[in-house]
Amino acid sequence: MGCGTSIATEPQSKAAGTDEAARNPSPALTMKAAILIQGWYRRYMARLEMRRRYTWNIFQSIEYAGEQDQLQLSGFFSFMLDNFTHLNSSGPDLISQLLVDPWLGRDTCHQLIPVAESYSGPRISFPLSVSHTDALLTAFKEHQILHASYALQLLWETKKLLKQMPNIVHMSTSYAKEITICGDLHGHLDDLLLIFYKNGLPSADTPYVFNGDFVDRGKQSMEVVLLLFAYLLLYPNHMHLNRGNHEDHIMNLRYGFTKEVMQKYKTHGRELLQLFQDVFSLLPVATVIDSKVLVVHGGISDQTDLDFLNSIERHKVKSALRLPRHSVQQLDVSRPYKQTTSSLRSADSHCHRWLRPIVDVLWSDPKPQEGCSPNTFRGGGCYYGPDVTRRLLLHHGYQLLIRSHECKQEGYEICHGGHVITIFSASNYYEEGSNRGAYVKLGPDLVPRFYQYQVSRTTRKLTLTQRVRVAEGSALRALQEKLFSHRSELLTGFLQHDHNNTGSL
Amino acid sequence: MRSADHRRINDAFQVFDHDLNNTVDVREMGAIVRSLGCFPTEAELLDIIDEVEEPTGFICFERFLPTMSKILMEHKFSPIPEDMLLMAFEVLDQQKKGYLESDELTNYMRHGDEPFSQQEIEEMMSSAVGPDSNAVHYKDFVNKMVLDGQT
Repeated sequence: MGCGTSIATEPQSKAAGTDEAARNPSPALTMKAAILIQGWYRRYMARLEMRRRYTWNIFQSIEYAGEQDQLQLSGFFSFMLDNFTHLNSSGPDLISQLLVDPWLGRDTCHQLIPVAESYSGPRISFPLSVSHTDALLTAFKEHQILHASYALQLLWETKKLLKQMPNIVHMSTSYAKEITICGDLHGHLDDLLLIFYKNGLPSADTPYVFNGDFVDRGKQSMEVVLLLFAYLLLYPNHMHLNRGNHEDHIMNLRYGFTKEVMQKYKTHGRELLQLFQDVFSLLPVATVIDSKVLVVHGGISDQTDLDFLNSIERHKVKSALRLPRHSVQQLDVSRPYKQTTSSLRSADSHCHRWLRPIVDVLWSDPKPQEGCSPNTFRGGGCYYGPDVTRRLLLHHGYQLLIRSHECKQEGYEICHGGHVITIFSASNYYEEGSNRGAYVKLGPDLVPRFYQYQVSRTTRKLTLTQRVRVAEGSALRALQEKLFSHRSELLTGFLQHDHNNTGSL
Repeated sequence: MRSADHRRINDAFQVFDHDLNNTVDVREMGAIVRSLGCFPTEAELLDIIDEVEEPTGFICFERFLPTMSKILMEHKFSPIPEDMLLMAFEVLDQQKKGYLESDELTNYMRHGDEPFSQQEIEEMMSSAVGPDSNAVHYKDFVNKMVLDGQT
């Protein structure tokens, strides 16, 4: 018999015994009763945890299935562009309109947009000052929108600054006591504001690294990314932004940023998006702290060579989802296809060589097993084992890899024997209450200190039971939507096996 | 019987097998074993882990299956019936008020060989204590939790 039942037999016999014994139970008996309640309660919580994990699995599968689709879809687009653009000689088609070469001279167009007298939002001028970033903070808290003219100028200034940055940025803790590293924000402005509130605004005394995925999914990507860029311009030596896999205009088409910009900026949305495309591709891909800590969005692969990574012309990798071979000549559909291909060949081979190293650091996830394998779940990047991490850290004399890219329930997670930290800063990512956000601080001792938080819209604290319920409901809804959108394929699939048309299998 | 157990164990295990390679992290063991309807104490759980853990800190399904099958077949760590749970609360309710002050229950839960952590206390109290009192009406609480456990 289990211990639970044997403990419980005593209260049972006592309860059935004299009233006195029941009224004044011995300390030993109350202790046993308490232990029984503890054991039962822990089992109850474990079951809840199980349900929570099931829910998490559903969310994650749906999320990554989306990314997989994206890669397949973009493969299809690339194929179409490669093979069919020359057929369409009647004028630019939809795809090429979306993918116009970003290096065309449009750098001056922002000057043409006048700001009306009646505009009541924040006004900024360059070079930026603290009063400007304060004005932006206040305005975004009040759900105001920055005028397109200022937004374009801000992006243009950011682009100018980023052009001078290397692919791998070096930082040192000696200039400040501690460096704060934040993970994915995904348009969660509330999380960014909470980090600033708890940890202080960016400054020479409070340097930050934001490790990619500022945009998409959340509703306030524009505000998040404009604030980050504004602080970058204000403190270019104390604010660093790494590129994430969502700083990618093709990902933005699907995951919400493109739509958000077009809704907020009806007239100048396209100009903004084109400029974003440049700025995103100019973001550095890695930060190294004190020559000891590597900070990248996804991680590494067994092919990752940081020296080579540093030598890449990163702005030529516009998107991980489409080979960057379609330069303006090729998209200029009036020109015959054959003529342009030979001139592009040498550029092509470079871009091919550059794409993979960048995709690896932006898309990969760590795995507990040794070795390196393709990331089939996401459809891009790889899974890297503790041996891959060890080898790279040893080679460069580093001691720690900090990455983001994966939502974690506690906002952070440590793996590979303490050599890899995942940091994720968007709380409630899947659903209200689904996860905490976190940031990590490193001082000169390079011992990571974690800070967790959770933005709460409801003042009432939900119990775990309620949180699991809410998340389950929303996971099931997401599944239903998936099933519904694929119902015809499902029906066809079922019918194939239902030879007698019975309606059941 | 055996094959049904086998399937249940496999299903529970797979939830936590994130890399789909028939291994899980050792930290997931509590949730797996308990979700199969067993409730070992923390100490007993460590014994199970000792029996099946690989040197790498992982649990392989091949080693976990026979151990877990045996636990299920022998009905070890079997669940506590509802009435017995209620009796345990009644033992703690020495004045037979029908409820426990939240401080009272907290105090009990802080003792024993495996006392509750602060987090466990807070979580339990947030669902046990009524919205506008400081009392745990344990009969309602037990009913609510048993119902929750079934869905």
